[in-house]
Amino acid sequence: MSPRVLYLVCAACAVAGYQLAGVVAREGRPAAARPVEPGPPVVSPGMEAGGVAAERPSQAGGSAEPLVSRNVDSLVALSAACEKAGSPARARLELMEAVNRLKPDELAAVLAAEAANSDFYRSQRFDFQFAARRLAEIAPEKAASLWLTARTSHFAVDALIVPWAKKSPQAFASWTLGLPQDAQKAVTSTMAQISAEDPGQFAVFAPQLSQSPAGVSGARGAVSGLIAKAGKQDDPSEAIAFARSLPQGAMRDAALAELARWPGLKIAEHPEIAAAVGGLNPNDARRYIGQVAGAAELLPAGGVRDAAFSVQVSSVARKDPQKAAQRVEALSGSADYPAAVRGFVDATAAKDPAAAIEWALTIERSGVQRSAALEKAASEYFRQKPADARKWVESAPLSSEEYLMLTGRSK
Amino acid sequence: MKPVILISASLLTGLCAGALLNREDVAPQTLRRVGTFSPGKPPDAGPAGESTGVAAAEDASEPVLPGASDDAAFGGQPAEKQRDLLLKLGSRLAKGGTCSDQLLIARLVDGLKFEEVSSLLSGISQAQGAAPDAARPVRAVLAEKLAALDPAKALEIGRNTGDPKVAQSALLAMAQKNGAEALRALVQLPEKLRNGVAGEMRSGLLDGIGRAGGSLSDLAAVLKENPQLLDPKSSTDSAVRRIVGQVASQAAAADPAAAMSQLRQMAAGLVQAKPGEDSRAAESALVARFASQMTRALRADAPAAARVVFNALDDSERNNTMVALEAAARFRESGSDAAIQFAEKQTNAQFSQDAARGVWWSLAQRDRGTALKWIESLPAGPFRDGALSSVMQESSFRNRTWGDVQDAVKAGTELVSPRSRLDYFAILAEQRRKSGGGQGEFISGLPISDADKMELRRRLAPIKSQ
Repeated sequence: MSPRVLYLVCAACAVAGYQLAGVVAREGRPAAARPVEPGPPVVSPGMEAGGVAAERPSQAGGSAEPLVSRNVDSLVALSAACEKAGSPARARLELMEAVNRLKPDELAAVLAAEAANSDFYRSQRFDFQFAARRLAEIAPEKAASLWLTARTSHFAVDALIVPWAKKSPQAFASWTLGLPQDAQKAVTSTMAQISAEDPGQFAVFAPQLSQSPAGVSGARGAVSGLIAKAGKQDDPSEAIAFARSLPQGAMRDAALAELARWPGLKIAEHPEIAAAVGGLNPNDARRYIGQVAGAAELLPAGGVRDAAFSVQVSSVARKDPQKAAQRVEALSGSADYPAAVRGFVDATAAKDPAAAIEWALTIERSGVQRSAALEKAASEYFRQKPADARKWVESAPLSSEEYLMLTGRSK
Repeated sequence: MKPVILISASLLTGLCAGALLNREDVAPQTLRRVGTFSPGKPPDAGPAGESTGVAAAEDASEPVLPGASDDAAFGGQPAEKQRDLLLKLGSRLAKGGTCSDQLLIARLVDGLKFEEVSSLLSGISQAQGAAPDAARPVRAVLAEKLAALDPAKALEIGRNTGDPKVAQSALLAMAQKNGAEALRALVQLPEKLRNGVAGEMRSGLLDGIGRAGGSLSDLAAVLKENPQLLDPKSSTDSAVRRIVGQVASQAAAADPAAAMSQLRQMAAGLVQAKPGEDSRAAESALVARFASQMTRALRADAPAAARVVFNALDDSERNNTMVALEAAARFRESGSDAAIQFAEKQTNAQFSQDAARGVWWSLAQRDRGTALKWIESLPAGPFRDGALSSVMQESSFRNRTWGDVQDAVKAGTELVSPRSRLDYFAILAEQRRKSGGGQGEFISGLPISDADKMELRRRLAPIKSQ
C-alpha cells in the first residue's frame, strides 16, 4: 500500500470512527432523554387507513413507541384515534406523544382548522389545550398569529399565547404594543394573569406599558398576585410601596385601587388607596365598592362615592330597613343624601314599591340618583300594581323629563 | 509502523473524538434539554423574535433533575427519589411549566406497575411540605395510571383513602368499558366521597379524554335500581349526565335515529309519574338532560349525527345553546340561507333569537364588516334582535371584556345605521335593567343624539300606557 493510499484509508477510518461514535451515542440515548422536538410524521406498523396507528397494548415496562400521525389534518381525528388506544391514561399519553411529533406548521394547521368546528366548548378540551400550548412553546409566532384570528371563535384559545407570555413576559409586553386596539384589550387578561404570578417581573417592564390597557391590567394583576399570597394579619406596606413604584397615572392608580382588596385593610387608614378608588370611573370601581362602602365618606366626591353610599345603605336596608332609614335621614341635607336614598330604594322597592316611590321623591335635586331611584321604584310599582302605578304617575310631582322617562310620553 | 496498526489507531482516534464530542448525548440528560426547541429562534424569544434575556435567566435557574430523562433509570430509583422527582416536575408545571414537563411525567409514570404507582401516590399524599399545587398535576397522572392498570383496585384505594381524584379516575376508567358498572360503583361510595367525586367530574367535564361506553339498556337498569341518580338536584347529576350522555352519543355516532329511540324508551321506563302528573313531560325532561350532553359530544366528533339527534328532539327538549350551535353548524355547512331558514322555522321567539345569535356569530368569524351590513337587511323581530345581541357577545369575546358596559356601548356604535344602533342600545338597556342598573343614567351617557335618547326613553319607559 502506497503511503498516500494509507493516509487516505487512515483518514477515512478516523472519520468513520467519529461517525460511529455519534451513531452509538444517539442510539444509546434513552427515549425520554431525547429533546422533545417535532419530527417528520412516521408511519408505524399497524397504521389504519385514517392515518393513525391502530390499537396498541400498553407497555408496562417502558415508554411506548409513540403513536404518530400521517397526513394529520384534524385534531378531532387524532384525538379520536388516540381515544381508541386504551384507558384514559393511555389515550392522554398517546395524544401528547402525537401532538409532540407534529411539526409547527402541521400543528398550526390543525389548530387553525378548529375555527370551523361548531362545538363552542371545543377549545376547552384537553387535546386542543395541549396542542395550543405546544404550538405556543415551539412556534410562538405562529401561535400568536393564530390567536389573533381565532380568539373570537372559541372560548379558551388564550392557551395559544399564555405559555410564551409567561416565558418571555417582556417580549410579550413589547408584542402587545403593536397590536390593533381591540387585540390590545383582549391581551389584558393574559397580562393580568402573568403579572399576578410574578409581580416583580411585571415591575421590570411596566414603564413600557404606561400608555397601554395591558399596563393597567398588569398593574391590577400584579397587586392581585400579592394579595393572593397575603394573610389577614400581613402588613400591606411592601405592596403599597410596590404600587407606588409603578409609573404615575392610570397604572399606578389601578394598582393602588386594587389594594382596597388587601385582606383586613382599613381603608380609613389609607387615604391614598381611597383616593385611587375614588378616581376610577364608576364602571371600573364596581370591583371595589364592597370594600370601600364602609368608608364611603372618605372618598372624593363623584360617581364612586355615590355608588359607595348607595351600597352602604342598601346592604343595611336588606337586613334592617329601619336602621337604614335612620342612616338615610341622618344624611338629609348632605350631598350624599341622594345616593343613600337610591341605595335604600334599590333594597326595598320590591317589598314596598309605594313607600319606595315616596322615598325617591324626597330627593329634591334632579339628577341621576333621583331618576334612578324613581325608575326603580316605578318599575316595581308597575310590575306589581299596574293600575295604581298609572294613576300615581299622573298626579306625582315629577318634572317633564321625569314624566317622559317613566311613561314614554310628554306631559 | 505497520499499516494495520496505523489504520486501527486512526479508527480508535476517530471513535474517541466522536465519543468526546458527543459526550453530551451519552451523558444523562437533564430536563433543560427538553422542550426548548424553537425553530430559528433562541428559546427565550417572543413572536417577533426578540430576545429578552428574561427566559434565559429562568433557564439557568431551572433545577437539574438527574434520572428524569431516563425511563429505565427512573424505574430503578428508590420510591422517595421518584416521588421527589415527580414533585419537582409538578412544581414546574404549577409555575406554568411546559408540555414537555407534562409529557415527561406521563412517560415516567407509564412504565410503572400498579404497586409502584400506588406507593408513589401514597408517598405524595403524605410528603411533608409538598406544595398542593405541585402535587396536584402529579397526583392526577398517577391516579389515572392507577385506574388504567386496575380500575377496581384503584377504586378500592380511593374508597379507603377517601381520595376523590383516585375514585373519579377509577370510575372514568370503568365507565370507558361499561358506564353502567361505573354508575353502580358511584352509588356505592360513601356520601362524602361521592360528593367529592362529583366535584372532580364537574371540573373535568370538558376534558374530553376517556369516554364512557356500554349500552343504554344496562344504564337504564342501573338507573331503575337507583332512582336517586335521576334527581337533578343531586350532587352526582353531572356525573350521571356525563356518563349517560357519552354512552348515548357513542350509540348515536353509529346510528343516531336508533340511539334516540333507545333514549326515549329508557326515559319512558324510568319515569314514574305521580298521579295527575304528565308523564310525557317528565320523560321529555329526562331526555333533555341527556340530549344536551349528547349533542355537545357529537357536535365536535360527528356533526351529522348531532343534526339527526337535534331534529329528533321536541322544542321542550332543546335549550338555547343547542339551538344557537345548530344554527351555527348549518351556517358553516350550508351557508346563510339554510341557517336563516332554520331560524325562521323556530316556533318561539327565544329560539329564533338563539338561532340568529349562532348565524351572526358565524358570519362575523368570516367577515365582521359584512356581518354588520347584513343586519341592515333583516326585518324587525326576534331574529334581528338575536343578531344585535350577538354583536354584543362577539365583541366581549373578541376583546375579552365580559360584562364591560363601555365595550358593549362601543360595539353598538359600530353598527351601520342609526336605526340598528337605537335597537341595539334598547336591548343593552333592557339587559342592564334586568341586572339592576339604572336606565336613565345609562341612556344619558350614550353616544347618540338627544332625539334618539328621547326615543329610547319612550321605548323603555317602565310604566306602559294601556
